[in-house]
Amino acid sequence: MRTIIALLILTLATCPNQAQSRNEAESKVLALERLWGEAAQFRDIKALESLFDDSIAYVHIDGRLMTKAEVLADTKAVSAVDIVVDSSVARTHGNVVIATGILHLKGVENGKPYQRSGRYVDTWIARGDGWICVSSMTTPIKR
Amino acid sequence: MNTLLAPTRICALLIGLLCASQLFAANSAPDRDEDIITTLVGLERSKFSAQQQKDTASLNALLDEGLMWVDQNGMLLTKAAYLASLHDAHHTINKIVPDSMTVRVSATVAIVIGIYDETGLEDGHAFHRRCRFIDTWARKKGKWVCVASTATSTIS
Repeated sequence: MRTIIALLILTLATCPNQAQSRNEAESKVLALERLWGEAAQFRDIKALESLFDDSIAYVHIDGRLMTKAEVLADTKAVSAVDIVVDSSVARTHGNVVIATGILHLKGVENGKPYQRSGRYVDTWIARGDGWICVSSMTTPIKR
Repeated sequence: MNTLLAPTRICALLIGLLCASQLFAANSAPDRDEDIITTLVGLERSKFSAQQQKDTASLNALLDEGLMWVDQNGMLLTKAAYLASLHDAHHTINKIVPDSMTVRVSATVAIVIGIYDETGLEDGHAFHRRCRFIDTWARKKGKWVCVASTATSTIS
């Protein structure tokens, strides 16, 4: 499974983007977002590493501001999490794509089951021949 | 009446000058990252000031038409919906100020990460919260515009 995710990310993240239409860019970023969810669920660190810029600004749903190394270490350390993403949309602004959606997380923390939902906003930029995520924040949804 | 409008007019004038200087700069030498950082810190301060004053004219110039705005409750708003929300009688901002900001520049995009302090009234109850925010600015036609803004009151 990890190899498949890594190959899909490699294919999507390195497709030439110069001649990409707005829709193509948005579709590719949304596909990368789906793969991100799968990579996080299967704790595929190598795949996640290829999606994030080295200086990504990452704000976790619990409010932690994290570096790329911290995100990867955290993903490795946590117990299994069930991740479902819905209502995702993307919008292009030149060589920038903003993607947003709702994240539903289910897991066990300190022996207790939890369920959380959050709205994420991710910024992707065209770099070289691919797309890379430079910022990500998930805000807990309050009802 | 004129006294009440004065700060809004001054703010709109300052933002207009800032936008004009951006256009002038676009036609001259390429900006250094330090200049971009200074510009964006200024634009962020203008954005918070305009929010506090419900200055929709200034915000209209700072926010892109395709803006994605996520408030601290996780609600996604369009530009029009966000500007309308400033006049919501159930939610009034008395004061909103950034107390720290870091700007990361990458060609025609800049990410601003920071914390702001907000006080106001919500359904008649006073509130005070500190939120972490990330704003994404894109350079369009020589001018920086905010294309995404997201905040969370969960800070750890």
